[in-house]
Amino acid sequence: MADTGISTGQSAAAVRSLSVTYRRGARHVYAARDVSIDIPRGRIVGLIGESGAGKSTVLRALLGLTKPTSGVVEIAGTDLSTVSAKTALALRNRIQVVMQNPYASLDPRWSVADSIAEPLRARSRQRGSEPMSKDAIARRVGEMLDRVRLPTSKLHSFPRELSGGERQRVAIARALSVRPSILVADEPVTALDNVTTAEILGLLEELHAEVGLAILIVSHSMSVIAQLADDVHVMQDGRLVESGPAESVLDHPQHPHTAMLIAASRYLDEWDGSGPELTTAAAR
Amino acid sequence: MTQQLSDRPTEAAPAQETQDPVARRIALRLGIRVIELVGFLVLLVTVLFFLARVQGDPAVILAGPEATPEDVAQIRVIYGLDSPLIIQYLNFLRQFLLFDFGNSITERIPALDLAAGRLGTTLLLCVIATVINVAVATPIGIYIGGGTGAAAGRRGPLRRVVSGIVLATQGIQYYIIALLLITVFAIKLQVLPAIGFDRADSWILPSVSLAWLAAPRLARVVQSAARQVWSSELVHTATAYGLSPATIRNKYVLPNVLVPLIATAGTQFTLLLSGAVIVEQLFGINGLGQLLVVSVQNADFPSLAAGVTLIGLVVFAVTAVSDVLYRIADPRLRRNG
Repeated sequence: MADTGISTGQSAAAVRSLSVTYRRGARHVYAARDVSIDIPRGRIVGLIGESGAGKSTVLRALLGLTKPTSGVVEIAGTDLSTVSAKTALALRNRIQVVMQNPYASLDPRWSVADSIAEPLRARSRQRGSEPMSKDAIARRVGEMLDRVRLPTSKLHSFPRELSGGERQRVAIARALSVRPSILVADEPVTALDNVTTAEILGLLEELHAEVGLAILIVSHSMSVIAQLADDVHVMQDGRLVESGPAESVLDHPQHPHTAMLIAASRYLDEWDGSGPELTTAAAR
Repeated sequence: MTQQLSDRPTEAAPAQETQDPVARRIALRLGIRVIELVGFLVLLVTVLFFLARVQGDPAVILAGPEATPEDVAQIRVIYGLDSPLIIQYLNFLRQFLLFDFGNSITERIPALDLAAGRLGTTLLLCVIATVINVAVATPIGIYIGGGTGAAAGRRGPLRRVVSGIVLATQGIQYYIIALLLITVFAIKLQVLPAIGFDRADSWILPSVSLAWLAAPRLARVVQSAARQVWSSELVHTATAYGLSPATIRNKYVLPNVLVPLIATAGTQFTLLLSGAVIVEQLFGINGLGQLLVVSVQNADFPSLAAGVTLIGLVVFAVTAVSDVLYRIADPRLRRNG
């Protein structure tokens, strides 16, 4: 499963032979079974599959939200289970996440400025890390706002006053504020309309190009993956069924499930007229 | 009734003339609330009035078992019970809208004064019970509502046990608890009084018994709210910042649990008011609940109506206050602009 032919630069993060099981009564249910995914530095990796295929489980394991039943989670080549909790936390900080529903992932009680500053403040409070001054935090928040192309006038807005796309920009700015080397995006555009989707995907591409961010993008939409990803991994029923460079997987799918997902996505794209080409064009 | 109802909006009218749109909206809302309140109270006493007559002829009950038919006839005239029922009702309603309930039949003082004098005790009992309810149910609910770190949202064996205990306590009626508490603390150990509500130490047993009526339910509401927050995208993202589980609990879980907590505790205050009727009986407390029970037994309709009206007002006030409180706790409920 691991020898995928993906160009293996230095690994930013990876899961190796990851299995996660849940007990349901007496039975053990596999949410993920022997999954190996490498996220090389500076590359965009797409993870695709139907609902319940195990994408979220992989993502949760990577973020430390789920304990692997077996297998290894690595960040920057270091197996997290072999280092102290403090080191593991410092490594985990290199991964930040953008969730599907920005309204649910932003605290409604906090302004845009507070939301973006929160990870910086959290890091400042951590033992052993350098505390940031208020001014430095404010400066960084301003930079981030700029980076996600939000006007400074939104700084003191609350999530309820923003559009879906603006909220997702805030979520991205928040994730980038601590300068992670990996951004995990869990269905980042599923809750958004077509135009906003194009904007957000365009923004992710720019960020990738500007700061060399490695991105793991989890989606059930082939057109989203097709637009962004360098490498593609396809999951079905908790297993990885196909992995490889995006062009070869998308143009010459080896596994029937991959072919099925591509066909389904083509059908939908033709149906509502929002193909990947169109989305790309709109993003420019 | 119609006259009174049409009077109410004009009372709110001067405020409506102000130019400030916010003040105008508040005045309008307040006006609607007042009309609702009057309608609600009229409905309440109307039901009460006719329900009281189902009990039997009030004149016969008032006269007692040894009265002659002449006595009964005389009582009927004294209390205006000789006119047709509908006239009696309309008379009562007119008096009611002037907030005049007449004299209590048994105590011979204005019924409203009598009921108002008892209200303080009952309110104190219910407020202490609410404080105990929130103070006990919140930490327990938070505890059983979620683990920490990688185990967030999952429950270890101890959490399961506590959760089971909460479920079990929901099945034990508060009046049984009251009797148990009296047996243990007042009779066996003799550390707390079993009767009265005049000293701080006499507050403990009745308030704890009454809180029992609400706390298990509140704990479960807090639990499910906490679980929801723990498994939310908000918390997942915060975990990625490297926030400790304790920080996440204090900064994210607790504030987001506040809204269902306030809403439920507010509704439960009404529940506690009705529970107070029984608790006051069990502990011999001279509160509004006891007044209601005695009034029903003695066919003392003025006291009954005054007591029920006061409780209605309290319920209305508590609902309004918790409405405001959870608007403060949840910015999503505030209107823009």
